[in-house]
Amino acid sequence: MAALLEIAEPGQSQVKEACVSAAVGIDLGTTNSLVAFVGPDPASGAGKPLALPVDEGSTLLPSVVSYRADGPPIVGREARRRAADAARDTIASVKRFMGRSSADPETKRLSPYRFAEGESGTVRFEVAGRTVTPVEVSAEILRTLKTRAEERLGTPVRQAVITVPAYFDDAQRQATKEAGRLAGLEVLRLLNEPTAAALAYGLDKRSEGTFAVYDLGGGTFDISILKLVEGLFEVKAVGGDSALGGDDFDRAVAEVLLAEMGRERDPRLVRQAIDAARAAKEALTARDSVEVEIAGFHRTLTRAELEAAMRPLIERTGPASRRALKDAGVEGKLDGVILVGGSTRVPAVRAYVRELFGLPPLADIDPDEVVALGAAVQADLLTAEKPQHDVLLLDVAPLSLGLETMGGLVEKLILRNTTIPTSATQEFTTFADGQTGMDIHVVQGERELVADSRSLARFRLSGIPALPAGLARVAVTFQVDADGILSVTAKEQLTGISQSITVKPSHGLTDEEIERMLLASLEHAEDDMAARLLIDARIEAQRILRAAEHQLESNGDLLDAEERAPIEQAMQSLRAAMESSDHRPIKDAIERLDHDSAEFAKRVMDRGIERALKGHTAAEFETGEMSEHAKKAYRALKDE
Amino acid sequence: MQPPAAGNAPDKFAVLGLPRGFELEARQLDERFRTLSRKLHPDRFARATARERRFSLEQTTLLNDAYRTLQDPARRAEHLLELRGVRPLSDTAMPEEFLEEAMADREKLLEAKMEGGKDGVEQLSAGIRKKRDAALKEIASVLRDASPQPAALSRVSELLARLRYYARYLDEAMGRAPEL
Amino acid sequence: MTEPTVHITPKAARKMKELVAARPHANPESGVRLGIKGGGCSGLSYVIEFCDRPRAKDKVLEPEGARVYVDPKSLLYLNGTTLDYVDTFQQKGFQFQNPQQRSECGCGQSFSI
Repeated sequence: MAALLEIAEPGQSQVKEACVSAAVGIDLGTTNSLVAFVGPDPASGAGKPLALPVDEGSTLLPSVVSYRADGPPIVGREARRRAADAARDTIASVKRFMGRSSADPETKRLSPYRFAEGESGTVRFEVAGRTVTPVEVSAEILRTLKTRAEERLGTPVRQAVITVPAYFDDAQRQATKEAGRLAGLEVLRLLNEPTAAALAYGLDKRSEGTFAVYDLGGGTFDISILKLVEGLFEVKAVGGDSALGGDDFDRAVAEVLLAEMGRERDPRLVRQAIDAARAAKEALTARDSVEVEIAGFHRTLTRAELEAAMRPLIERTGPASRRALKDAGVEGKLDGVILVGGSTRVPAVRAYVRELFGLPPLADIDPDEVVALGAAVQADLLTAEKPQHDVLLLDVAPLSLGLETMGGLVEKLILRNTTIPTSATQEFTTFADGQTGMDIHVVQGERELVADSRSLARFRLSGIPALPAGLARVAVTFQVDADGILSVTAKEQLTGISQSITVKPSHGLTDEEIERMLLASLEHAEDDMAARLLIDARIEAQRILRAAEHQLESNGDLLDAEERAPIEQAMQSLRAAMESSDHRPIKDAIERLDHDSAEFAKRVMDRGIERALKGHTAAEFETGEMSEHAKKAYRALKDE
Repeated sequence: MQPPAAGNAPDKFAVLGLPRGFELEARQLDERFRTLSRKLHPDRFARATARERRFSLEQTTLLNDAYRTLQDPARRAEHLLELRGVRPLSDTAMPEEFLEEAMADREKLLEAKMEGGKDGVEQLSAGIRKKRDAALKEIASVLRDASPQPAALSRVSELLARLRYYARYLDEAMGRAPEL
Repeated sequence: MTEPTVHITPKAARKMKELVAARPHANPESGVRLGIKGGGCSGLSYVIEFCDRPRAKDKVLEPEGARVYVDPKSLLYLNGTTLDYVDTFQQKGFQFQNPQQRSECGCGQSFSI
């Protein structure tokens, strides 16, 4: 559908770079984040997703944000280098805090950080003299990916598919979406990570059949069972543990090392031990032993010792995997197991997967990149006029959704592994005479008791007519959309009074907080204005150069050598100007190229009209009219 | 809040464009589901107007629900009864003798579990699976009839309640308790 | 024989009239200029802007009492195009529907024929 335009002031109509905005796929990971893109851009090879280099030449941007008292936060490798010296101001693995409340035991377990108390129970870090939420920290990572992708692609990036662990609950999904919005991205879709991986995998290998995706990342474990038939990716079951990953391996190993050292622990020492553990884990994927050094403490660590420390954690992936296989009803009928996530590089993990599924795992696509690549494919599917692939993803709700009923019991309305979008309606009646209100408490999880479930939202339906108990009937409808996000409507059947909400997590951010964060991010954007202008100018320059190259190639015959030279010269100086760190010389060079190519542009357009006229002549045979007018109009033009 | 009453539902066979009936070929059902998903799914309407997107969401929701219902023989039978205006029988409205039989079954299962022998549990499960298959067969034979007698329909409704019980029993026997 | 023209829906015409009237320096000739311009990622781009002084060769349209100007060159490209005004809960704005258009980029501002 054509977009909508507004009337501009005279002469102010702009042909803006706006029209070439790109949609990307983003893997917002616990340890590393990536951005990928499916090009119409010939440079990337049309149709194939490509992960973009975003940090010191690497496609992996460490998900680390370091805050400073003076100046904007630093993201990526540079932030990671600061971590040892500014442990409390440098947030790593923020994904593990997404959508969690400050009261969550998981939160306390995790941290060298300072926490501040928030009104709504959201986690808040105290960093460099201010407080930030996990959503803001994640937005910082997303913003960095967005900006670096823009520089790389030479086009603005406004839309993204962002991946989340399949096992993320509603609160964690909402928080991720919020972070995207805060980073100035339209979140086209939240895509489950294993599904994204299967998408990249299935397309690449043109496989069909039933596959398990075993995704062990830095902080989350996901298992998904999918069926691939004729371009349809049907998720049959998902499961996992949203608090288990490579970070835990590192911590377990660090624990062993720290215990041996027997020194008093401080955040700096703990950080160093964790870093040493991670380095040792990585080194031991290829070797049998490695030297470890932490603040003067030396030790040789063998692979066997490492595996002994990790084994109990690796085994925790077993029950969830078996349950997913059962839920999918495909026990023993798998065609393959796909490995995703950096932690699946660990030999002990691979051995365990083989043992668990009785199949050698597949890992021929880089397990670090495969999720981002799949997300890019989905972004292309959702935005391109002619997507590069004819595929469709059918995903499921990872956790059951229900309501609290009498006695603190959960009445499940939507069961886990139900294909989404889905909805369910349940009627409830009043239990007291003259009852005029009903409290609705929405919960998520597999347990029978509300106390053991995750509370998503509470709201109250009031204005129920006063009737004897059991006569007033309230229909509660759950709708889960294609992002896996829930909205709830309650409707009293007699009066039609209804209340509806998109579920906001009970411990999530208040609207005021989101407002404040949006404002803060705008201020931040202003601080960055110079950098922004520079990027915009470079993008504009690339666009114009590309257009000019294209025109010279296809309409170069309209120019003689003498006319061509100044245009090529102006292009050359624009290329040179792009190296500048100031936007003004670039703008000047753009203007010069515009000026020097004006005559050429006019000839190209006239040629376009001539061609259009020929088209009309053909139409003349059918209608007998068109071309007369076209010719008349053309003659009028010639006279101009 | 209190438990629900039954509502009236649209024809889920019609949603998938299939004739009403208990006998259903799984392959045909899957095929219809895939074809319709390709046509209706929200991903296909990401660039469309708000109205079309809403329509796509509603239609896909209906489609997914219909597919889920028709895939499972017990739910399919339940839906057929519902279409004929027969309400599902609640578990507590079952005949006395059945409830007694169920209690006895469960006690035996508990005992077998306490003894710890896998064979005992497996033997008991096999017995229940046999009963389940017989019930499904009987349901099929009643529903094959174009216009079954009301008495036959209430028998199906009772059999469906039995199926629910058998399913719970088998879950328990396999130790498939609800987990975190 | 029909003149090449641009169709303007009554809704679009009324909206244009309203917007023109609301401008501070409107004169009796003030209206809206429709056109096309080179550039943009798909090659050509739609122009819709206020116009206080029409040019000699402009085609003048007067739907529903609004004044709309199209220069002859643009008219070639825009012939048969319908200009509509969309006003929904989600979005509002003018929309070109051009039967000659072959492809369009994401923003809807650029097209090629």
